[in-house]
Amino acid sequence: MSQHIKKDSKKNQNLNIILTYTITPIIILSGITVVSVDSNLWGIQGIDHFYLEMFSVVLGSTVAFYAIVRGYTLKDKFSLFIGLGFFVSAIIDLLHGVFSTINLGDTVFEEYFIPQTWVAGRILMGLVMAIAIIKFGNTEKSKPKSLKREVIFYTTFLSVLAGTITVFSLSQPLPFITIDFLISRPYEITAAMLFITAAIFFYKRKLHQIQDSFYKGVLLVLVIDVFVNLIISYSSNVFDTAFTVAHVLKNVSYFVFIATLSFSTIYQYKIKEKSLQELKQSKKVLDEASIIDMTDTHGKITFVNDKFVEISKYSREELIGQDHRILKSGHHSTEFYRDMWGKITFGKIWRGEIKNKAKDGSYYWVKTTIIPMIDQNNKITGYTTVRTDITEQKEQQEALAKIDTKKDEFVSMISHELKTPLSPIISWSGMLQEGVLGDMTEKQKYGVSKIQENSNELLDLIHDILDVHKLELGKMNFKLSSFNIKELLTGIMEDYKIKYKTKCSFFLEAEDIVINTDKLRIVQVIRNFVNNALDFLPEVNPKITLSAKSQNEYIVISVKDNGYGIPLENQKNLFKKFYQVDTSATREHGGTGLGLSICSGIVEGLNGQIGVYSEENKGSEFLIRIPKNKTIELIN
Amino acid sequence: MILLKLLHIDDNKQILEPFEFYFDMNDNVDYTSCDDPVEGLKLIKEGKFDSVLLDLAMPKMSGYEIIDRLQQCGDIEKQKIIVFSASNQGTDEIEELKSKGVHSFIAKTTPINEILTHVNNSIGVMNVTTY
Repeated sequence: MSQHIKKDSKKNQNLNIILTYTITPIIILSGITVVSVDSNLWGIQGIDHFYLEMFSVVLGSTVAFYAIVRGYTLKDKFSLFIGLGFFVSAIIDLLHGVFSTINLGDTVFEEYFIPQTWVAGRILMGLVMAIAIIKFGNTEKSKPKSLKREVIFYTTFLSVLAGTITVFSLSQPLPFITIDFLISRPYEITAAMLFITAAIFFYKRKLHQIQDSFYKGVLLVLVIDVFVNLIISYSSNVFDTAFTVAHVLKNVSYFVFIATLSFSTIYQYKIKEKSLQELKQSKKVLDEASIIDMTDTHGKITFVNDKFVEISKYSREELIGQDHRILKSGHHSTEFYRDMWGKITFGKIWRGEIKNKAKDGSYYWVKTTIIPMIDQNNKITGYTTVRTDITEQKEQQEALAKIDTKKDEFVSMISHELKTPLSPIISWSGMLQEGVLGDMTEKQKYGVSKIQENSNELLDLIHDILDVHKLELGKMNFKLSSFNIKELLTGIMEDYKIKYKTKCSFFLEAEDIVINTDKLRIVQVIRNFVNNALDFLPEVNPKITLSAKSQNEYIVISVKDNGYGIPLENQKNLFKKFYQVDTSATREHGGTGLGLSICSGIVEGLNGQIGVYSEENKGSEFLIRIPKNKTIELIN
Repeated sequence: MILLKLLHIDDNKQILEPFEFYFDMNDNVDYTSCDDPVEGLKLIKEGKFDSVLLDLAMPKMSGYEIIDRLQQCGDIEKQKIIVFSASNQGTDEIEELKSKGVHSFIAKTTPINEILTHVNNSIGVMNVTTY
C-alpha cells in the first residue's frame, strides 16, 4: 500500500517536472517563434549584435566559472565538462562578436561570417551538452579521485573540438538555401537536433529526478537552446527579427543557467550545513557516550575527551604526550598487544576488550575500537580510539563465573556424597544376591533384587544430574574413538536380550560402518532410547529394532518400537528438560524427564541432530544423525 | 591359581567392609584393606602388592598426594594403581593422572564381581577403565 503511494507521488513529481521545465517553456517559446517569423517586427543594428554577443561572452564565462567551481567542489565531472564547454564557447562568441563588428557594414562579410561562426558556437554547445549528459550523466560513477587529469583532458578535447568546428564552418561556406519559405538556415537544425538528443538522454538518464536545481536548469537551457536554433533557422537576413530573438534567447538561456547554478549553490550549501549539523550532533552524542582519544602513529596521545579524563583519573595535561602504557593493567599478554598493533598498523580496525588501570590504582574495563586514520595517500596519520565502560558488565560476568564454579563444586560434592553410601549398598546387596553371604529364601532374594534395582536407578539419576549440569555449563567433554557401529549395536542388543528375552523381541538392521565419535556417549543415547521403548511396549508381539545406516557424511542410528506411540502435540517437547508425556504408562514407570534432554545435548555436542517419528498405537522411532567422523567435522 | 595381591586404601570403613567380607571368601585374592592413607602409602612403597584400589578424596592424605609421592620416588609403576573413586573425573584429569603413572579408573558404584574382573585384567592388560 505505502509502496503504491510512493510510486504514485514519484509519478506525479515527474509529471510536474516535465510540465514545468519542458511543456510550458515549449508552449511559450512556440509563441515567440510564431512572432519571430515576421522579419520586419524587430530588427537591430550591427552594433547591437555586438552588444548582445558581448553580453553572451560575459554570461557564458560566468556560467563557465560557476560550473567549474561546482565541478571542483563536488568532484563532479558533469559540471566540470559543461563549465569548460561554456568557456570555450564564450571564446567563439567573442570571436563571432568582435570580427563581425570590425567588419561592420561589409554586407558580404556579414552575410557570410556571422552565420558561419554563430552556428559553429551553437554546434559546439550542442555537442558539449550531449556529451556531458551521455558520458557523465551517470552521477554515481562520475566521481574522480583527482580532477587535475580530467581538466587537462577536457580542455584539450574541447579546444580541439571548438577549433575544428570553427575552421570547418569558415572554410565550408554554408549556403543560404531556402528549403521552403520558412527554413533559411537549415544547418541550424543540426545544432537543434544535438540539443534534442541531449534532452532525450537527460530524461533517459533520469537526471530530472535529481533534487538539485542545477539539473532543472540544464533541462530548461536545452529546451530554450532548441528554440534558439529553430528560430534562427527562419532568419533570412542578418539582424532580422528571428536573428535578434535567437540572440536574446541565447542570453536568456545563459541567464537561466546562472540562476539555477546560484540556486544549486544555495542548495548544496544547505546540504553541507545540514550534514555539518548532523556531524556536530553525532560528535556530541559520541562525546557524551564514549571515552575517546586520538594518538599519533607512535601511539602518543594527542587528544582526550572529558570522559577519558574522568575514567582514567589523570588530568588532560598528564595524558597528552604519553602513550597508553600509562594505563596498562598488566592483565593482558604481550601477544594481545602485538595482535592489536599488528592489525592497526596495517590500517585495519581493531576491536576488543581491555582492562586498564586508573591513576588511583583502580581497574576498569573498556570495550575498545581503534580506528586508524588514513590520508589520501593511504598513509596512516594516527589512531582514534572509541571506548565504552564495561566495568560493571565485567564484574557481573566475574561474579557469575564464580557462582558457576561454586555450583560446579556443589554438584560434584553432592554427587560424590550420594554415591559414597551407594557403594556399600550395591556391594552388600550384590553379595547377598550372589549367595556369598549364605542362602536366602525366594522372598528375601526378591527384596534384595528390589534394593539393587532402586540403587541402580538412584545411580542413574545422579549421573543424569551430573550430565545436565555439564551440558548447562557447556563442560561436557567428548572422547573420540573409531569403532564399528554394527558391532556396538550388536553388543547392546545382546545385553538387552539376556535381560528382557521373555518381554520383547529385538532386531538389528545395521550397516557395517566404522565411525569416529564418542562411543560411550553413543551407547548412553541408544540405551536411553531402548529403555524408553521398553517402558511403553504393547502387550501383543512387542518388538524393538535397532538400526544404523549411512547417509553421505553422516550416520543415522535409530531405535524403533511398536508401542503406544506419542501424541503429536507432545512430540515437540520430548527433548526438553523435565518433560514427561502424561500417560498412565509414564506414571507407572516413573523417570525424571531428563534422559531425552541429555541425549539431545550429547547429540548436539557431537554436531548431530536428534528426532522422533511416532504415531499413536503404532509405535515410535527415535533417531540421531551424527557425522561419521567428528574429527573432520570439527576441523571443518 | 595365581594369587593376586590387592591393597585397598579408603578412609571410609563402610566402603572397605563389604570388600573384606567378599575377599575373605575368595582364595584367589590376597586382600589387604587400609583406612589410613599415610599407612597405605607406606604399604605401597614396600612393594608387596600387584594392584592397589585407591580412593582420591581422603582428608588426611588425598589419593592425588599419594600418586604424586609415588611418582616422585619412582615407585608408581611397581604396582597397578587403580583409582577407585565416587567422583567423576573429567577427561583432562584422567589424562593427567594417567601421565603420572595411574593404571586405570573404576567407579565406586561398580558391583564387586565386576571390580574383581577389572583388577584381574589389570595384571595383564593396560588401560582398562570401568564405569
